[in-house]
Amino acid sequence: MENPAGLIPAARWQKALFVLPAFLLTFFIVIFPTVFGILVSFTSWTRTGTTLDGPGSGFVLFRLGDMVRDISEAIRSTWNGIDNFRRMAGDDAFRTALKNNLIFAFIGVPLQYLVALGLALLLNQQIRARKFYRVVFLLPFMISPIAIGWMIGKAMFDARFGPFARIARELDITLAFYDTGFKAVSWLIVISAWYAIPFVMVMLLAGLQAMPGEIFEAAKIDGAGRWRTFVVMTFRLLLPVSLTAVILRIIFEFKLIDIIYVVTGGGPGDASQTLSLYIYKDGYLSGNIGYATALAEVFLIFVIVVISLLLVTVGRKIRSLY
Amino acid sequence: MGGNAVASSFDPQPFRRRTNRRSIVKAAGAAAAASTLGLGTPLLRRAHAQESVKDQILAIPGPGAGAPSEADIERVGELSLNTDKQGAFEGQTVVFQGLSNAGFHVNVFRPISRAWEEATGATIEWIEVTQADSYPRMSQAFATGNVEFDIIEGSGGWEGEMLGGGYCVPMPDSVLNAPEYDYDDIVPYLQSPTRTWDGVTYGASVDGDMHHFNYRKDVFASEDLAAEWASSGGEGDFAPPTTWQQVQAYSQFFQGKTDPDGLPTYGILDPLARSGGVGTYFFFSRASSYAKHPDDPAFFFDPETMQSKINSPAFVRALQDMIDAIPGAPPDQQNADLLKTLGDFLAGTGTMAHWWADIGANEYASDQSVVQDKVGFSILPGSPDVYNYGTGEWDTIEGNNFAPYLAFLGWGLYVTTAGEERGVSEAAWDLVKHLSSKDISLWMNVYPSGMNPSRESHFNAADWTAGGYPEADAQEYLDSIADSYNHPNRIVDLRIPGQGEYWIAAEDEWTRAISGELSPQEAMDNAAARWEEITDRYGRDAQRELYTASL
Amino acid sequence: MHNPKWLQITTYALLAFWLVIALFPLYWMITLSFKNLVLITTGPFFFPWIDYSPVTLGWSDLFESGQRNRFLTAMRNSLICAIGSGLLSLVLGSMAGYGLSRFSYKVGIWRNRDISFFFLSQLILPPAAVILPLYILFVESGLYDTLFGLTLLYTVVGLPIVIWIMRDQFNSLPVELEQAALVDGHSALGAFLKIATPIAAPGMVAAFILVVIFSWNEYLFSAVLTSRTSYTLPQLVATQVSSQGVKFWTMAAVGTATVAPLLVIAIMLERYIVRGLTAGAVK
Repeated sequence: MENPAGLIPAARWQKALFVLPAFLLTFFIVIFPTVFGILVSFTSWTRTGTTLDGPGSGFVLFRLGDMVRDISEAIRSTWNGIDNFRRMAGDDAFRTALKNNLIFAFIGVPLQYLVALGLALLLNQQIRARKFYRVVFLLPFMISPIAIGWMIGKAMFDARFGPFARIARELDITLAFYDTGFKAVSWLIVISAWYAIPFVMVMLLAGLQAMPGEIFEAAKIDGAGRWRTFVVMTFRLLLPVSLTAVILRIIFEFKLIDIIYVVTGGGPGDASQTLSLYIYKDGYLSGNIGYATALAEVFLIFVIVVISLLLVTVGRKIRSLY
Repeated sequence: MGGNAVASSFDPQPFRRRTNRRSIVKAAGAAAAASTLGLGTPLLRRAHAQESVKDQILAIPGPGAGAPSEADIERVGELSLNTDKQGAFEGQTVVFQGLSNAGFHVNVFRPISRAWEEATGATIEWIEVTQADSYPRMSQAFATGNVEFDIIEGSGGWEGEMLGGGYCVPMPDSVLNAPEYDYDDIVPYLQSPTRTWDGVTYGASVDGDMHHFNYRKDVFASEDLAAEWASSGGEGDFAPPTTWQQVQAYSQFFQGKTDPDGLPTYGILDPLARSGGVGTYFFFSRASSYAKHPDDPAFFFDPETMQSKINSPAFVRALQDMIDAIPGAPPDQQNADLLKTLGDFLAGTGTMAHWWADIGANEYASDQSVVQDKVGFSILPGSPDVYNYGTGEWDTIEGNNFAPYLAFLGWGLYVTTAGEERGVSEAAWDLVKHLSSKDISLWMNVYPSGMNPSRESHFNAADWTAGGYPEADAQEYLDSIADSYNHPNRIVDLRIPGQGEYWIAAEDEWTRAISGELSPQEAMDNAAARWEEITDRYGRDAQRELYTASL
Repeated sequence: MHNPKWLQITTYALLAFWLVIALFPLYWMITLSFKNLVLITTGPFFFPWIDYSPVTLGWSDLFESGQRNRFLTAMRNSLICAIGSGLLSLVLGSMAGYGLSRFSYKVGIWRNRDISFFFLSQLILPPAAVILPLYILFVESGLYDTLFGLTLLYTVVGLPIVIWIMRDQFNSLPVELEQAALVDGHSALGAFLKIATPIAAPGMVAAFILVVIFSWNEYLFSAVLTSRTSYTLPQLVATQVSSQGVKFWTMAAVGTATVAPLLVIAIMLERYIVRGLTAGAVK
């Protein structure tokens, strides 16, 4: 469908009325963290080194004014130029985290896509009790990642007491899920896929249902084989929604933190740590606010670059994401 | 937000009242009932003069009754309540930040405080944090001036920040001199230096801490295993280890063996996963007898230069030991944090563990344990040689070097200056007095609560039989704790500012050696470098002064 | 369509296989909620009453102990935040989506695409990167530990998805009806409310559900930005951990109780999710 933008004439204030509330709310929440992030990433601010005065009293705007003054003072007194970025260049933990992020995004997500595509195709068949399957297959997406981490990552994948341990014991194998970095990352990919597949599946299912049925009929009459029909017609028609789903998943996979935090805590060592987790641990747990903020800024730029590259290269083909 | 109005409609008041009434009728009768109804009968203990409060509460729930229920704990709080502040804090809200439930800490404090709430008219709001979150959350609250809590359950190790930073108020005489608090009963190291700053007492101890050594008596009594040990060329008799070298040898030996119950045996359980810095306590108890020289009071730093000692050969050797013990540990030990380790040991996995006194506290009294009657206790293992930091040599010590580690220094309750500014410090201290009173403290030790011996009166083994502990076992358990507390070569844990940061930095690095990213020496060199940074940030001279004073 | 026999068999076999994969972890969670430490660590046991006798420790811990209050409060908080942020982001996001679909904007150098990208870019923002400044901002502006603050934050996080779905939804609707309404004397707002929204309802339901699921399960923001009154259910899951071990049974009970309301939503509204996402799915 053609983009109908501009087809409805309206006064300036009316147009503003539609977009402004969402814009202002987002702006109010996001502007401070953004400015804070850019400035603080050039400081050596540590939690115990620089303290703030805390919630003042009086009208909220005055309090926010106080906060801005407090923070500017803190930034000025801890300014250390590009030291943080120099340190990052030699930081092995940062490099491992970056590598893991890329693995989660570019190995984990295609995996999710393949399984989800298979499931969507299954669910699009003429099957009995379709509604039942659709609801059940959606379930993993409804569970809190934190609960998934504990219940699956810890309790189910327990090398001694989990259900697989029993089978392994019968077979006289010693099970270990997270004793090496490779295994830890692999299992985390599996757990996060279990959680994410339903989301991709639903999007693909929507894509399949939106397809005009005549295409398949026409293909049949032409005598084209099923496989050809699938590849040529379905896959091509599904491409926009596929790419959209994949890009959305890559964005979410970049932000992945709770499952990893619970299941391995990034371990053994740093081996399964992602940037989100590293930032959280270094900034929130260890209190290295300056360095963690610098990490966050680099991470943000990195994500934006990757996503923009994806949008530029495949952007034409995808469902209008923006 | 009008959240409160909605909250009250969800508040299951009828439920709570009913529980109380039932427990009251069971417990004590009219006097108790009157006090709950707010009629102002001041001291419950008067009504039961014939039987001491201590004996009464220790019988709740009694041996074989399983873990105490919510109503049981409420009754304990009810029976031991001794406040002259009837209705004095009507309308006040005291905010308490403590460790989240899992059946312990806040989940015990909360029901124990209920009678106090009803008697004084105050309301308590609880902020529950996990152990890994507890230090950062406190530190963040201080750093941003957002101190919501009036009482904080904190570690002795955090006192540099809490007390040195001026965030807490000294303990008033009304608590310090209260007979039911009985200050003189508290074990010496928790009277001072712990809980004090500049000679002034701030915190009330509810817990005492050290790492001691737990081992499976039944495994070390197995004749089959003893025979195998002898035939495999094991050195010495097959007996509970007393040195870390023996611990290492047994960890190797136990691989592929089975215990008397037919389950696979594993060696020592080191918690090897990161847990917000808490894992470092276990690393330090591994290093205790290698690094703590009897002639040198300093364990963590060189008191002259405030250089950290943690990359010295003693600590590197301890880290190497931990790596060497991995093959003898249960699978996935690299991903086991301290909680997993505790659960595993109580479930019969692993033959040796260095832990706080909680294993013993849970052995009998918790209905979650399968190791009743199977656990032996001693002070932390020693070593025939100890590293001499001054000469750079390993000195041989006749009869082995032992250095019990008073890790963490126990949970204490502290009242914040923010609480004082909000005008609730009187109520807060009255609550602290209730929670840390002698009777309640004993009860919390005997039953699983997360609290370990912190008073001389806790070391009376006869009291422990009330909770189902055989007296001989209790004696052995208590002796190992007392011997740790009183050992001439003990290591009193660090309590200078930044303790939490030092621990997290160390944990970040030593875990990298566990995963093989770094060699033990590299890892500890990194850790030492990070310690120098932290020391410089707080001021080397200031830190040195505080550290020297603590020795 | 008439599928050959072998394809039907394969289809059902694969469906059954995935049924096991999707359901077993949930089944395991539910069995865990009926175990205690001894049953967990002497196991694994699979079938209640067959290879072990279930205990209700986890559930009694949740409903009969001091946690009862805490659980009910968390449930109420989660409901308020999830539904509140779902509705708020739906209202704001539908309006923005409609605006971006129907009007052409030009604010300085910003056009429709740029405004859309501004919203989308909020999706990219990793929570870990903003958690600390948000903490400070929330403390100073009095939003800390309030359901209002948490709801606003979840609304902002949910907005990009809502705007994206709704814009596609409106793009796929014929514009003529609204034009006719304008001719009849309706304002743009009137055309939006009376003509466009009713037709776009499936998309709105889908967007609403996605935001509710996200807000319901979000942990990081809730853990850092709330403390004594506004905690949500995922925090209750995470705090079944203490210095004395992990209470898997209670955690499993909380987890099960947390999924239950969403399960009801899934059964009732599942078809709308798919239908709501079809708009714009295929070009």
